[in-house]
Amino acid sequence: MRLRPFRIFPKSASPSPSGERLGRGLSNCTCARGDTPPPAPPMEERGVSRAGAILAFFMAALGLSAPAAAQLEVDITGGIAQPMPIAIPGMPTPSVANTPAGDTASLGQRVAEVVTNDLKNSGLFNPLPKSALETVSHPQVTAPDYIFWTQSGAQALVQGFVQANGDGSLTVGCYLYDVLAKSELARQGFVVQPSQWRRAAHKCADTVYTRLTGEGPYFDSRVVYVSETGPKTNRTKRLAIMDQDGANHRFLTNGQTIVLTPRFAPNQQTITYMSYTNNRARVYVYDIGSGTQRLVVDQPNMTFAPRFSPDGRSIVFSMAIGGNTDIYRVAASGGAPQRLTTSPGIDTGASYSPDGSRIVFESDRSGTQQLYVMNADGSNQSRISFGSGRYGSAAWSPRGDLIAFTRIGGGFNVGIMGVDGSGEKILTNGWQDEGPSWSPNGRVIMFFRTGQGSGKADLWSVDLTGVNERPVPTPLDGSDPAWGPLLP
Amino acid sequence: MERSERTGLGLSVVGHIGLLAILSLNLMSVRKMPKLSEPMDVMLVDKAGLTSAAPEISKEAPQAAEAPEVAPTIEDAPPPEPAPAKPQPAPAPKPAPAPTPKPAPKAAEPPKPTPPAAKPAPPAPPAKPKPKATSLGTDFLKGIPVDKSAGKSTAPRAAAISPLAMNGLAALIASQVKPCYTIPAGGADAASIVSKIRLRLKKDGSIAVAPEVVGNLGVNPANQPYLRQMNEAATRALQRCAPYKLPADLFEAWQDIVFTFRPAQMS
Repeated sequence: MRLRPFRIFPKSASPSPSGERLGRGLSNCTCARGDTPPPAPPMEERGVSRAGAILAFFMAALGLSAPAAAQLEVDITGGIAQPMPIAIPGMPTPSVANTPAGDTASLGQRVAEVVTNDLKNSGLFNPLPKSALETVSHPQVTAPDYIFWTQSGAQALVQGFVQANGDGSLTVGCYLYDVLAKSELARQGFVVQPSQWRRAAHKCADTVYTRLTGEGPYFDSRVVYVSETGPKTNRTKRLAIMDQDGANHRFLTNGQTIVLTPRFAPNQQTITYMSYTNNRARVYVYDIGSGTQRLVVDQPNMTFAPRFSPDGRSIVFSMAIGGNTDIYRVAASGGAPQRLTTSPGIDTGASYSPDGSRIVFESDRSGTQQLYVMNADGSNQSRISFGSGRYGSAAWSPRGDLIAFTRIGGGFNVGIMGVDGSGEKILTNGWQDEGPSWSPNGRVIMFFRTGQGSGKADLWSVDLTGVNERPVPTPLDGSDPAWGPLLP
Repeated sequence: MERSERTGLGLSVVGHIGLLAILSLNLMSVRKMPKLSEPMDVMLVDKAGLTSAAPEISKEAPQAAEAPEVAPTIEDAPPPEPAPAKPQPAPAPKPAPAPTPKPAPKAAEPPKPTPPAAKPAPPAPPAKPKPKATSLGTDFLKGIPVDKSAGKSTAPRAAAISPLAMNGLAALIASQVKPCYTIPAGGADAASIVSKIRLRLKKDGSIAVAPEVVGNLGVNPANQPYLRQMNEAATRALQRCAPYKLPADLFEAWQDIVFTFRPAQMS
């Protein structure tokens, strides 16, 4: 029984011929995505409940049901927060074919491994060990062996296939099943170039994650950061970019000049950062495609702490003029900067709200470094941090509801608070944790941790519970991570 | 003398080895068990509430207490479906020997012994029951006459269940469901979503009709995206912990239940 690629799209998908849909994905060399399944329950479920209604009717007719007053009500209070057991067996291939990334059979295993790692790292899933998995045949992809999986203890099952297409691309099919209800929860197909097979795996993991948690996707995303190596006094700092899980790592700059605080543009094609060139710290924009960099504000003053606006059209940054540092905005293409703050002292570390209407920043106008929020035009500035210690490096969540920050007081810790400063919560307790950056779904924060004495920094991630903290693998030391948006 | 000694010694050695083999076989099967016992049995404590219910009911009928003996046997009858046997199809693919054109006896023989050896293994794991908290036996209402004489109409008995007994029954059911009620960590807003789920059971405690969401409370724009997932977590809990061990004589009371799942602990 051979699967046609279009079958992997839900029935609710637009009626356009599947070939066209797949072709579109191909021409972009990115993943083609099916529509998300409709919120309505699957047909089977509805059928079951209707059968249930009929059954209930008969029972009532037979006088079996208890008197109306006897309806038994049971309260279950207090859910147990626990990762969900999930099974992700290797993905079969309809026919083994060689691709530049390996043959489709081994790719099927590797796709399943990437999905497994993504889900495990989220802290919300507990993938079964390989020894507890069953080999899945191609026909079983759409007809799971529920008897086996029920006994395995898994509550959800991810199956899929990897298929080589005639034009050199790959189709990765991804199916999610509810093992207990014995029903399909989601399915999605991705067409990618063989070199991009990991992206298809991340998209599959995102499909599973969003369906089972209700959170937004984030696995198919990249991180830019500062790679560090060499002695404490003479560190070589290079811009580097990698997938969210550390794969596909590459350096963007050669390390001849020091770079700090890289930030993605929403289009992910450009990065803005501060660089010391000719002993002067200034803000630059780097184009990933062409590998060229360009000065943003051509002035002799020191400029730093840049960030793109959510629409990518402007950049906010700090400029120091005669001992007074204020926040400015400039068009991403360049031009005359517009001043947003005017208070004496240091105003810096600006970060836009996701709708672009407001900006959070840090200022020492009160005497100590604290967080403030203002409108995007600089009006209506008000302080939001009132806890003990100093606050800096604020980052507004892509979901809009929270602000991440570094709190300095006794040590450096990463925490979160509401956009009005309420509900402050410290998430980490390392020696020196700083520089938070949000995952695209606003559920995870990446930061860097400097060891006591060594001066060596590493990238870490932590989720909003503060419980799921784990290192992010980098070939060398790393600092200043900036998590990019979800890839299209 | 020597000869008989030797044979005796030999016999005893063989016997011991045999005994050891049997014992170690037992050990192997036992080893699987520890996994099952999850530290969820905490719920048993709740049953204190149940005992209070029992005396209340006992007033109804002063029959002899032989009932408890009857109950356990009933309990044995509906064990988790032993569907396990199925996974066996896997070892089946052993048609390898056939293709060999040469009737070489050597090649043909070996393959056979191996498959049989492999077979015994799979059946073992399936035997494990679902993880679930040990629950009260159906005989928790000791003293109640369990005689199921068909003569007595069911209606009067259902009506006779006192509120206290209903509470005890609710506690018993809750104790069997709660260990399975797991929710995703984090989502603070999601924890305020209350799910009301209707569940209809068969007489053997298994699910008659798939759990049905009948209502929600505490939903707001912030946690709306998690509504479906919280309802599914509740539904899953009911499915995971089925079948339930409940007193058969109170079937009318528990055949149709409305659960209220509150993910957040009351504080």
